Amino acid sequence: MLSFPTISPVTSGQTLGAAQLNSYKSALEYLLGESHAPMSLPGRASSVARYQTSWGTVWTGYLYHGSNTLYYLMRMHNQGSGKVCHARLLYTGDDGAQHVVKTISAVNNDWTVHSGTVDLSSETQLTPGRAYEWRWQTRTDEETYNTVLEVWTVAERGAISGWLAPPTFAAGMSDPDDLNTLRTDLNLLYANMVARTAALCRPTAQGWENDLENWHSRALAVWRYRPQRLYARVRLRASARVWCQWRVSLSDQADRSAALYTSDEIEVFDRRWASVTIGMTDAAVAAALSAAGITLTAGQYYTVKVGIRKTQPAPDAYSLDHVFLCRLSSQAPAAGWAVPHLFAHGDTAISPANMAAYSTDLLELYSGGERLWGESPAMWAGGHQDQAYGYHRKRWLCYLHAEDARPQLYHGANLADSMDLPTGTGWQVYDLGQVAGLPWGGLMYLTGCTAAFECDAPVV
Amino acid sequence: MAQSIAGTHLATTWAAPARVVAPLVEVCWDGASWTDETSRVLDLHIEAALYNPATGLPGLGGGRPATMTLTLDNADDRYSPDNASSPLHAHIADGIYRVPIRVSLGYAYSGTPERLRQFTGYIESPLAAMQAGAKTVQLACTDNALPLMQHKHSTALYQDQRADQLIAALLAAGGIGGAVLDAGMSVIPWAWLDDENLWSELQQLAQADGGVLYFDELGTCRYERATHWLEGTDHTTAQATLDCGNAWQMEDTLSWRDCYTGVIVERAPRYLAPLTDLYTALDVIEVPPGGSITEVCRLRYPAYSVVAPAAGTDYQAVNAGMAGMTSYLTITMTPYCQRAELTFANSHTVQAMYVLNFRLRGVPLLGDEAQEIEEHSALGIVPGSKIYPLRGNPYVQTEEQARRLAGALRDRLERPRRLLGWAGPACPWLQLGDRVRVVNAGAGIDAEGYILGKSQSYQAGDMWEMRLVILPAANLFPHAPYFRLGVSEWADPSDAAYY
Repeated sequence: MLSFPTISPVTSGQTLGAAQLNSYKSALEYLLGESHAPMSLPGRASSVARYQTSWGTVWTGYLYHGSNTLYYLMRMHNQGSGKVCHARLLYTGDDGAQHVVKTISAVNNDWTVHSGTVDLSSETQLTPGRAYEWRWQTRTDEETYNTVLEVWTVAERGAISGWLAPPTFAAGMSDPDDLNTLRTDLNLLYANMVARTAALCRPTAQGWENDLENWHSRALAVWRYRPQRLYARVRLRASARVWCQWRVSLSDQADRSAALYTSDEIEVFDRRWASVTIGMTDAAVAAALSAAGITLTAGQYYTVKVGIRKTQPAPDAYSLDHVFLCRLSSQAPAAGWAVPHLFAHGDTAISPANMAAYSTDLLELYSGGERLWGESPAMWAGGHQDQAYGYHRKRWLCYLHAEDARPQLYHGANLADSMDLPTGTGWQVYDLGQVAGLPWGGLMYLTGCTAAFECDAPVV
Repeated sequence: MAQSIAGTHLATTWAAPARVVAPLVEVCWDGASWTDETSRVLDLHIEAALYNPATGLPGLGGGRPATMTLTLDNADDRYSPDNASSPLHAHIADGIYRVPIRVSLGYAYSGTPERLRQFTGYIESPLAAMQAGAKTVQLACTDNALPLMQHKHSTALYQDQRADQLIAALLAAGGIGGAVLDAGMSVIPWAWLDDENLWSELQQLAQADGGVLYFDELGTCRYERATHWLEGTDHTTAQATLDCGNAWQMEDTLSWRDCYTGVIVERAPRYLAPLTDLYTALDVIEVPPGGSITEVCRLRYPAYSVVAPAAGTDYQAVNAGMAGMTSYLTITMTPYCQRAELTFANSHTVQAMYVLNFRLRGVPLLGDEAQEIEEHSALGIVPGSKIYPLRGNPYVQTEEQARRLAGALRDRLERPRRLLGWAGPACPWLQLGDRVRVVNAGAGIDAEGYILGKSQSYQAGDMWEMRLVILPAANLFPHAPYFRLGVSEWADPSDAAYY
């Protein structure tokens, strides 16, 4: 497991060592790696309509508590009735009771985006290091209309307090305060802006179809856009033999949609794997987005859909499962990134330019092209696909296994190796370091779980 | 660092051809005031060293407190515990042990004594003797490290502390104040003590950071980091010139024993494991009516956190008839890293309580596979392979620590080191680590070096002699001048980076 370097404070008169200088470099490169990490896209719920006047749950998710800033994004409408939609966000706390953190009431005749942050610092029933059940609930004022809710994300975000402006290193007398400022800021970024969890991808993927030529959306996931690539992996299914196509499309919050990739016609006997890596800045993709009026903005939320259709007449049904959607990076840093110097004993390059690279990179990570978010999204419990996919990034697997289900972990070449995971009441914690054949960064998936995520430390 | 001689004439009197030694030996018999015992001093011998010949240069700074043997005239049985007439009887009737003592020595200038402290510590064991009708007592003394040498201590888990922060905490636990500690060079991710010896743990902490820890002549605990000799004036400028003119004996030893082709430093990382049972009681815990008992539970693993025991999950409290008594039980827990002290109190005034199936759960801190860092010399001085291993220090946990230690040790050990010896009239202000200049023109020696060892001998009415072991500075820090914050400039080229 990779550890963030421990950076020592320095004092005036102290002899400066290569190890000390390289600790700043290691810390910056650790954070840069986080910025370019593969990110599994969490599944996104379909919209749910309720006409009841009492509160009722329309979305359940599980979220690891590590930060006091909660972000939500959902869309809501009242079917054009002109009536008030009511929605509230709540969690089940340590005391077993439900605690409401946000209530929204609005006359939304059309799809209307609601988003914002909630300060959790006053919530006494949340303990850092534990995972909690969160719910969206809706109601109406009378049973003549529906409140329709479409939850995109509930996530905890990092927030920094006490950030110090990175120092300016000019030729002249060295100052230990400058290095201690670097230390403070690096530790703040690590503590607050590196997510302690890694989400798994379990999008909606269900149902068989039989018609010809019509596209059927079979998986929904949410992407808080971070450059530059989208990886999609699916398994096409046929009840016997079909010719079909699959595609990946992206929609924004205004329902504008663009097809990013459409496969060639594929012959499927029973089942067939397919995958694609889509460059989001490729000309064809850019053209499709432009034609749809979609502007890709880093940090904005989009829905990724995977669809399938039959392309030749045949009596057999078709579907797809094992949908895995993941953000990948080209690993090229943002244009402003300065490669830090690697110091060695005896090195005489402790120059303003080499020191200034630390400040430059800090700003890139804090507010520039490598800006970190520290976001841990909730896992929607309603994902119908049983498989929850991800690249192995954190040591601990934390999961709730479904009732009467046997949780299993698949890994290895072609994901052919499987093992049973321990069962029990409540959150289970499993050390993935024990799994031979699951390398760091290796692809894996789980089955039989209501919710699961990887984590830096065991859920308490 | 050299003691200040400001306001004295010691530099002159030391260099003078004739000197009058001015001793002062004081003992704190009553624990409050100092008693002058100088008139009874027959002889004394003080040994202090950063260098232990047994472990050699690799073990620089490791583990030896300063010692003193002091012989006093006991003709009148002043120091005899059985002598009820002794004015000290009330304080020594049970023997003389851990009595504070301090010794100052210097020279008289125009009849006025000018002294500097040469030893502060405790009398550890007296040895009464009679020879040729003369009664004496010989006191074996150890410096202020003595109280720490048998002091066992347990702590909670420290996380991400520098060596000096941990040292300060342990010194405070041992009742030692006023320490002078350099800021440590590394942050140690995990540290704790479990009934362990404070002195040996302090030495290991110092070693893990590449520094040295010792008590100086004034009784002050000092932690000097690996770059200390690059930073203080007393280590960058010679504090005295030792030449044939002021020496009775000079020695020059070239040691190949401490010359190696490479160094291996082992580090022991740790990680947090899933919640698990840390302790399971083998026996039923019986708590008397209206009473309490205390159990010390040694944990299977060092604990990052311990869950407060919960009824039904971690224990059942019942009476002899298996009726529930949970409401009468109060458990108070004091957790340490590798043990927990629990007090079980039974508020029922009649029924005895039995605590069954008691366990403690928590998050354990486990050891990962040990990793090694190797540094090899490119000098090719020693043929073949001769590797020095530094293993088994639990405070060496990070790669940064291991690389720094490996590099610094490689520099120290890759050449055969010449140890210079000097013996002459005692130079009162010199302390361990001070930089001195040694000149022996006849042998072609004119070198500056650091004092590794200092021994002093004094006989009443006779001379006060000092013997020094000096490590030449040449090639010890091969890339000097090194970059120092607030002293060096951000520049290209700059002063050199240390490890």
